[in-house]
Parts: sequence; C-alpha cells; structure tokens
Amino acid sequence: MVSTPAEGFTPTPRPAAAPGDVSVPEVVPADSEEPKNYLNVSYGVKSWLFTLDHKRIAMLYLLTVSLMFVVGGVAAGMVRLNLLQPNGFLISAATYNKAFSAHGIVMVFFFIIPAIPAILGNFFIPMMLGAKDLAFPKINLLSWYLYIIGAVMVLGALACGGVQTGWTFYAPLSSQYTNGPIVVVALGVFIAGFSSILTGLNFIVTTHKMRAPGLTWFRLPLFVWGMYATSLLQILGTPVVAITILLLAVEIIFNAGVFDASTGGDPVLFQHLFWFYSHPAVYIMILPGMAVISEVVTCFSRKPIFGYRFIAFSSMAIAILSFLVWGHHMFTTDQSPLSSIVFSVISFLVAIPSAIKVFNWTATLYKGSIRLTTPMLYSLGFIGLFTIGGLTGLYLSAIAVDIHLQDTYFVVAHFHYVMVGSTVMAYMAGLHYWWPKMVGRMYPEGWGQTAAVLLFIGFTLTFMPQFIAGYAGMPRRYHVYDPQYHVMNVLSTAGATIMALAYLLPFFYLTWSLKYGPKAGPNPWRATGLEWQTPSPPPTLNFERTPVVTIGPYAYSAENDEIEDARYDMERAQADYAAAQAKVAGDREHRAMEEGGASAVSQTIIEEAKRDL
Amino acid sequence: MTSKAPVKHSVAPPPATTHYQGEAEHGHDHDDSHVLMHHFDHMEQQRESISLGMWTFLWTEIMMFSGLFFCYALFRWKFYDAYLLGSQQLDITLGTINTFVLLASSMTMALAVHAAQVKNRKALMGYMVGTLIFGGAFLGVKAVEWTADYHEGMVPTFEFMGPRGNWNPALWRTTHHARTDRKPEEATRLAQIKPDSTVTYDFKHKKEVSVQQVKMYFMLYFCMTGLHAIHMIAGVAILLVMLLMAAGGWFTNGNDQPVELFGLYWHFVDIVWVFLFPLLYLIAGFSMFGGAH
Amino acid sequence: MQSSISLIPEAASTQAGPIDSLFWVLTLVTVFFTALICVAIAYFVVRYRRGAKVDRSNPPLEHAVLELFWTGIPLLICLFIFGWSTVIYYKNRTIPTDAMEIYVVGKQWMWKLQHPEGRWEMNTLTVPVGRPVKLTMTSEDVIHSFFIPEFRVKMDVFPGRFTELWFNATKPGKYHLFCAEFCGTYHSGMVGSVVVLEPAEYEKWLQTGNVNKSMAAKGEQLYREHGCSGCHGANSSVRAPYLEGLYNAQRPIQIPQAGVPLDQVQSKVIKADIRYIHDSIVLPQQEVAAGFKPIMPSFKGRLSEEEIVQIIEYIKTLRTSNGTNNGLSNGGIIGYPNSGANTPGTSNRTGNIGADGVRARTHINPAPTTTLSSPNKMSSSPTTSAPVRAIPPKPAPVSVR
Repeated sequence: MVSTPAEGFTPTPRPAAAPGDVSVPEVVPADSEEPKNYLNVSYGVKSWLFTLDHKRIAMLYLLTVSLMFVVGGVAAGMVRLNLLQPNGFLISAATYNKAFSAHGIVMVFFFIIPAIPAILGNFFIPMMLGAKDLAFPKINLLSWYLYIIGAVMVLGALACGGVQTGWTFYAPLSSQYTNGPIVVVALGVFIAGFSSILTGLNFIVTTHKMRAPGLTWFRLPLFVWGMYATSLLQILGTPVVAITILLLAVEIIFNAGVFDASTGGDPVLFQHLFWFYSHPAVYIMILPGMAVISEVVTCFSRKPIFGYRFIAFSSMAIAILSFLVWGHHMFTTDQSPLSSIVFSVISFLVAIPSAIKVFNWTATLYKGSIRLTTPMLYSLGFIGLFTIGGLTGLYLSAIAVDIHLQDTYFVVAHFHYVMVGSTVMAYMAGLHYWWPKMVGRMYPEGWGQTAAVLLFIGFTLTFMPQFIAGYAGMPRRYHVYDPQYHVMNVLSTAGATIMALAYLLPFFYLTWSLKYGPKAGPNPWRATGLEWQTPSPPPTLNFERTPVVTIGPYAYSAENDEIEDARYDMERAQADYAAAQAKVAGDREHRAMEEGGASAVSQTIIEEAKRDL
Repeated sequence: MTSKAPVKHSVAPPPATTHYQGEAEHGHDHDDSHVLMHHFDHMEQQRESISLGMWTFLWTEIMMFSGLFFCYALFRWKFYDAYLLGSQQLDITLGTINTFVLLASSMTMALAVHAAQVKNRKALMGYMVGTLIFGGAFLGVKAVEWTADYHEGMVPTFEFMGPRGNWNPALWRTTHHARTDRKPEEATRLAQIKPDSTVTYDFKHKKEVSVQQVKMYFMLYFCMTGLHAIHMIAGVAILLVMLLMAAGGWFTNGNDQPVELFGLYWHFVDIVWVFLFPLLYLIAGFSMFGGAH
Repeated sequence: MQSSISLIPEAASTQAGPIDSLFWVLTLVTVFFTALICVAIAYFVVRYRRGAKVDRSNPPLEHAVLELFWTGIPLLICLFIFGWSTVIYYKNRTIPTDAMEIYVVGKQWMWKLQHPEGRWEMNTLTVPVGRPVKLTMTSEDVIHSFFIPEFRVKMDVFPGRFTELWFNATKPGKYHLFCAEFCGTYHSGMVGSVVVLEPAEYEKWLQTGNVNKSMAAKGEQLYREHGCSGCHGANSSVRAPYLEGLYNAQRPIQIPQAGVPLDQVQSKVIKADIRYIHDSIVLPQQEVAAGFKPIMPSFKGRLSEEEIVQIIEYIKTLRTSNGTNNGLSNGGIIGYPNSGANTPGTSNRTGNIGADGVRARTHINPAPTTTLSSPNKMSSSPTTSAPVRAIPPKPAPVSVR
C-alpha cells in the first residue's frame, strides 16, 4: 500500500530494499490467539488430502512438484556426469538413454507444465481476482489426484526398467523397436494431461466469471492475463496429445500400424500430432513465466508496468500463433518445402510478441526505484536469459540454419534457455515473491540472493557451451561423443554442479523459514495486488469481504516510495540518535553513581545530560 | 510527487486500490443456501460459471476427438479402398437403428431439460427414463454389433494374446456374401488369405486392398466408437444417479442447471455419433443390407 | 582429434558457406540485442537503484510510437532473415542433375553405403572432391538422420520411403558422420566418417578393396531369383509392364478408386522415380500402370531395403536400344497413344485412359525409339519390327512378336 507521507507515518516493517539493506521485518511477538488462516484452520492428513481450498491444493502441488523436480534433477545429474568423459565411463548406453528420457518426461510433464500454473496460479488467481476460491474446487482437487496417479504410474514405470524413447516418444522407435513399460509411461502422461486440462478449465472459468466488482479485464494483473493465455493452450492443445499418446498405446498393444510405415502407416504423422500439442506446450511452459515476471518487475521497480496492453495482447498473440508453428520441428523430414517455409515465417512472427514483452519489462525499470531483492534478481536474470533463448530461436526458425542445427546440442541449449533459464527462473522469482504470502514468513534474503546469483552463473556455464558444441555438430542424446566436444561438456557439467547447488539452497532455507523465518505481515513488499490486501497466510475464504476494485493493478509510485524511504531513514536515524544519546546519558549517570558522591560536579553532568535530551 | 500519470494506472491516493463492500457475503442464510456453493457470491455467478465450465470441457472433448478424426481423414485419403472394404463389413442396419435411437434419446433429453425448467418432476423423471432406455439401447446394439464383429473376425489381434486372435478376413461379411452368392472360387480364395499378411485382397471391381490397411481402418473404427461408447457409458451412469436425485426432487426446485448441463453433454456425445456414423459406415453409400452397389 | 575448442566446424561443402554467413549474421543480431537489453538493465538498475538521487517524475506508462518501433524493427529483421534463409534453403535443396548417386541404408545402429559401381562401405562414406553427390536414403527400422556437420547437411532417414540429400565437398579430408535422430540404445554408436578424396584417388579407390558385383549386377540376380523377370520379361505370358526405359520416364498410372472399375479410372501421369519404383515393389496396388491389372503381389518383407535399391539400380540399367534410359530422348511421356494431346515433359497431367484408350494402345505397334525425334511422331512412327523390346506399355498378350 502506498500511503502518503503526510501524517501518522509509523515505521512499519520494511521490505528488503537494497542488497546492503536487507532488513527483515520485525518479529511480531507470537500472539497467544493466532488468527485463523488456511494453514491452521484444521490439522491432520485428512484435512489436507480432502481439502477443497485452492491454497491448500496449491501447497499439495508445491510438495509433489518439488519431489518430481528432484527426480528429474537426479536424472539430469546422471546425464551430465556421464558426459564428463567422452567415453560414457559412468553408466551404460541403455541406462543413459533411460536417464535422459526420465529427465525429459518428468521435467516436462510433471514439473514445468504444472509448476507455475498449478502452484502459483492455483494459489493466487482467485486472490488476484478477489474470489473466494476457483470456480470448481472439487475439480481442482481432482486434478491434483490425476497428477498423482500419473506421477505414480510414470515413476513406477521408471523404477521398473524405464524407457528409452526420450520425452518425444517418436514412433516407430517407441512403438516397435524398444522394450520397456512404454504403455504405462504413456498412460501416466495421458492422465497427467487431464490434470493440466482441468486446471486450465478452472482458470478460464474463474477469470471470466469470478472477478471482483470493478475488476475489468484491463484492470487484471498481467499474471492473470498470462495464465489465461496458458489455460487456452492447455484446454485446446492437451487433448490432442492425450489422444496421440492413447493412439501410441493402441499401436503398441494392438500393433495397429497407424505409425508403422511397413503397413502403410506414417511415422511422421506421429510427429505432426505430437508437436501440434507439444509446441503450444512450450508456450504453456513459458507464458506463466512471463506472467510472473510482469508482477515482480513492477513491484521491485516500484512502478506501473510499461505498456500494459501490449504485454497483455502479446500473451494472446503468442497463444494463437503457437498453434501454427509446430512444423518447425520437422524441417529435416521430407515435409513439403512450401509447408516448411510457411512454418518458418510463422515461427519468426511468434518471436515478435516475446520481443515486445522483453522491451516493455526493460522499459519498466526506467525511472523506477529498483530494489535488488531475490525475486528481482531472478527476474532480471530471466529477462537476460530469455532474450538469449528467444533470439537463438531465430536460428532454428531459419530453415537453412536449422537443417544444420536440428537435433544438435544447439537445440538442447536453446530450449533449456527458454524452459530453465526463463521458466524456472521465473518460478523461483514467483516462489520467493509470494512465499511470505503463502506461508506467512520471510525467507532469509541473503541466502536467497546468493542462490539467485549462483543459479544465473551455473546456468550460463552449463548451457552457453552447449550452443558452441551444437554448432560444432554434437548431436543430442549421445551417450558417447567425439572427444572434439570434450571441453564444452566439461564446462557444462561444471556449470550443472553449480546449478545443483543453487537449487539445493532454496530447499533448505525455504524449509527453514517455515518455522524460523520472521513473520511477514500482510504485505511485506508493499505490493498493490489484491492478494496483498489480506493477512499472510490468508484466511480460508481469502478476504474478509469481497473487495471492490477501482483502479488498475500496478498503483506504484517510485517517487512516493523514495520520499517515504527517505522519511523512514530519517525517522530511523532520529530514533537511533535518541537511543544513542539516552545510552550516553545513562552511562554518565551510572558512572556518577559509582563515584559515590552526589558531588556537585556529577550533579551538573547529570543535569547537562538531561538537558541534552 | 503528484503524479500526472493516467488515472488508470495512477499512483494510489490513499484510500487504496480497494475498499470493501459494506456487507459480509458469506453466511448465506437465504433459502437457496443449499444450492449456492460457498465460494460464489450469488446464484447467477454460479450458474454462469458452471455453464461456461461445461462449454470449455466440451471444447476439450472436441479437440480430443479431432485428433482421431484427423488420423481417420489422413488414412482414408491414403487407403480409400481399405476403408471402403472395412466399412462394408459393418452392419449398416444396426448402425442406422443406433443413429435413430441416439437421436431419439437426444429428443427425450431436451424434453427432460424443459421439464426441469418448468419444475415438472414426473415429466422430468419420465423423460430421463426415456433417455436412459434409449442410451442403454444404443449401448446394447453396440454390444451386439461388436460381438458380431468379433465373431466375424474383424477385431484386430491383441498382441499379448499371442498369434491367435479374432482377426480373420475369411469370416468377413464380404467373404460370406461371395459364398452365398455362389461364387465358390472367390470365397475359397478369400478364405485362404492369411490374417496378418500384407497380401492383397481382391474385391469387387478388381480393387486390391492390403489386409493390413483394412486392419488400420478397424483400429480407428474401434478407437472412435470405443471412445464414443466410453462417453456413452459415463453418460448413462451419471444419468442413473441423476434420476435417483430427480426422484428426490433435486432438479425441480429451481435448480435445473445440472439437467441442462448433462443435456449439453448428451447432445455432444450424440453429435459425435452423427459424425461417426456416415464416416465409418456409409463410405460406400447407404444401403440397408450392406455391401457396395 | 581436431582443435579442442573450435567455435564453428570446418566448412567443407559448397552449402556450408552461405549457412555460415547467415549464422554469423544471426549471431550478430543475438549479441546486439542481448547486449542492448543487458546494458539497459544494468544502466537502469544502477541509475535508478533505491535511494539514488535521480529524477523519477512523470514516468512514462505507455508510448505507442515506441511500441511500434520495437515491434517494427524486430519484425523487419525477422523478415529479412527469413527471406535470406529461405533463399539459401531453396538453393541448397535443389539437387544438381549431374550428381553421382550413392545409396544409404540406415539400420540400428549402422550405416550401409552402396556405390553403384559395386563398392559398399560400412559407416564410412568415400566421395570425390568437387563433384555433387546425391544420397538416396532409406531405413530398415526406425527413423535415423544422416548428418555431416562439416557439410552443414542433414536429412532424416525413414523406413518405407526415400529421402534425398546432396552435397558437393570442397576439401579433401575426413569428416564426421552422425546419426542425429535418436534411434535406440546405441544411437551414439551410429557414427562414422566421410572421406573426401581427390577424383583420381577416388577412381583408384573404387577399384580396390571389397569390390563386389556392382549393385546392378546384384540387382539382376535378385530380379531373376524373385521371379520378376517371369512377368516383366520379354517372353512372359503374364501381361505386365516392361521395365525398359522406365526410370525417370513419365508414366501414366491409375490410382484405384472406390466403386469405379479400374479401367474407367482417370489416369494420372507421374515420373517413374525411385520412390515410384520402390512403392511399386512393396505396395503395388497403390499406383497401377495404366491399362494393366493390379495383379502384382507385394514384396514387402521378402526383400530388404538394401535388396530393393539393388533391384532399382538394375532397373535403371534397363535401357532401350538407343542407350537413353527413358525411351525418349527428351524424357517425354511414354505410353500415350494420342500423344498429340500430351506434351512431353509435363508431369501430373491427367488424361483419360478409358476403355478406348486401352483398346487403342493395343493397336499400336511398338515403335523403336531410335526413330523418334519427338513424341508427336509417335503415332505415326514406322511400325517396323523393332530389334529391341519396345517401350511400354507392353502390348496385350495376343500380339505375337
């Protein structure tokens, strides 16, 4: 909340402001009667497993998605360690293939796709809309159970042998030429897909119908816009991949021949159906990231977003165009040249809305009052890495260059820049930004900043060399590789080690903060969104009363904030000064008392001191 | 520090971004409290939300079926003859009957929605029973059809069941017709075709068809009708529950929306069949007794 | 092992140059915009850090001109790169007509390469420098991808169909050959090398080492063993098309349609390229030579892809008497009795080969192509007994020769 510096200003708990001044809010002495919030309203496993509260479901997702992240991360670690030497010294080829397949399947379908929508979206969309819950709480809980069923199936299949197909399941390799529980994995992904569909459905209906009075479309936070675009992709794209995966299962079980060239089927048909979903899925992964960044950048620049409408509409443009570019994954198949060219030009066009967003975020910093808190560090990292990730996409849209780069490490580096360098950075930004609201306590700012910087360094070191290895021709999914690429892979593995550390840190300090973190208060960042207008953690129904909205989402003023800060600094200096003087006076008095005599001299000193005060 | 920014984004003058409505919203003590869920503010919002949710769900359903329709279209374009041959093995009579049964069920469903709206419990229950009967009849006919398909060797082999399955062109309707039409040579020749080979299948007008491609047709046939039947079964199950609820007067107290929503779903499933029927059964054109002309 | 850190690989084909130029321009664009954004962020963060004494009044919140500017500039850059890339793509995918042809069969997890002259190689491709080479590729099992980084070329290799890739090596040397599409457990073992030799050395190389019978010779053997000659041969009693001069000729085919007797189906002229020949062997009913019955059995599963390309190579050598391999020196349409209506050299032309057409064809005596200067003379060409077998279509069995 922005308050005027005019009157009655009391030094309320301050947000972390600058790196040197990471003040934590004062610890509020624990009340004996803590107000009821969604966390303490009831206890016990049952109260969580059957909860209909979107906030609790979001926390369930947080737990399970984090577990899946660990699984995917371990698989990635195996892959990277094995590539430390060109000769595949660590694990066998089959194990390596299973490891990268597990990494891809788990990270794509069970981490990145649900991460921001199902955790942050679930928690904050109703709050940002001023609603008490999502439109369909039971469906929301159902979607979590579907996610769990899918995850258990996939993890079980991975434990009982694993699959060697990559996350793309290309036929006929997956349908005829490998063994392993591919059907189980496919069905697990199928079921998890429905979890994603139901979440998207819930968001769409909630955004349309449950906005608070006065909350018009152009007063929506950009987070909601981004999630809305994501949800559209989820409900329109995911069913297609679901049926594709089902067909793959039918192909394997019944030997149907739909993707089998020897019976006249078409292996490329699988690729078309798969990418018809999976390219929009890439935007299911990045749009939520963009949505988070729009919130964080404004808050820590203390400025309204620059070009609100352009950012909102660019999300929708991305959502629409993303359905028309899937063919750029098939430039090296015998797809007709004309369709390749059409897909190429649309792929170039889809870069434009992303560029608009990057420029607008950067422009938001202009004339702001910038605080490099942890979420802000992650966000600025996001903008830089996403710029690189987006621009390297141009290489892959240009057919001539893509033919050389297709299926090399350049592609690997590109999509990791977009998915990890951007989406995961944004996820971390959002998690830290909203952590005080979600659990009511602050995370340790210094550790957070350390982890953010480490992640940026580790990420760049991991994936920048892969661009070079890729253009030099190193194909992806290679268990052993030409020694020519050794140096780049060593650098990459070194970077991955730093990244692992950067991911481990938050696990520890966020867990620590659950119990020992200082209490956050309702609005530690003095942010203006509706979600900050209610206690932290929020009560079960989010708001005491349904809020009425009268203005846009980003009512920040850098100028006001600066004055307020100066005033706060001044008051704090005054208070410090007074305290110091009191101490001096006390000391003098004390000394005088010790000298034992109520001598005139000491009397005078005491009186002088009192006068000074 | 006075801001000259546009009002929309203006720096909030204190009173902040929000103020509060004067009246607390929850604790609904109106008489519709058993219908209004806790997280909605008022009935209209709830009604519209649920309705929009249903429509969104139907969109995802359309997208899901569209994947199968796309595969169907691609292979129909590639292997027209196989599709033709495959479709002629199906029982058009039963398919036609089923189409009308399903259309009738849609009509009773629409009437049920109306009955719920006018709060006529008896009519509602009657029409629901009608819909149930028609839906059940559809599934029954489908079961009969699939059983016949099984006995006539049209169900592609389950790989895990071993080489013996129920995929046998020698039993197909076309083969059977050749036999009854006293064309013993052709019938014998047809009967000798190996079930899983890619050898050609000589058909009327000397078209040659790979058995494998016919198998692909049947694969898609069973996928599409199977997925449709799963939707039907789910529909019938929900309808049964709703019938019991209707008996208790659930939907004739002004809360007719569940019936309306279910009607939407039912009509959607019906429409899918309206597309499936001509695409799968009538490739060769319409003839009550099967076979091309 | 080459230099351990090389930013870009050696450029050793004619296609590599333009791609590298485009790559560097793209890199320039990337570096420029990344630097722009990073410098802007750094500048703003420092200048407008909390507590800095700077003017923050009247921050801009919307600026249509600016938005259009940074929409327009990237758009122009994108369209420029798109145009350039597409031009390169088009040039690079046009296969020179004089390219020498090598067959590639990918299988888990090796490459088999066959030179028409008979030499075959495993996981090594030996080619001469300065001569366009066309690879005709197919797979025995899953999808592979043939990738030579130094040439900047890559093409997926599919089961059941042919894909083509060409390059013109500019420097003698040894280069990488990778499978780029994940193809199973030992995907990373599906690597090899491309050896580029001076032309003279290449000729010498062709004659040494494991010289087998030429592909065509092997194909001829298979052609006899599998009974192809029984129907397609000169003395066959079965009415099947002659294959002499088939390769690359324009041939009328009929695609069977539902409910239409085959002899009433509209025919369509296609080029009898290797795709057509391959498909005619494995899926003979899809495109039936016009005027013939669809009686050929499929050889799917009876012939490996390797054997099929050998047979194709043999069929290519089946020439008509004048040594042209397509019967007509100008590559025109063969088999049309009413050739006046069909200009040679056009493809995808449809014409009605109705019952009349078929009947008419039986009247035409096969004309020796040596006498043909243009297909327009076809119907009026001398009907002398030809010393060699005629161009297809083969006359009906009644015509005794």
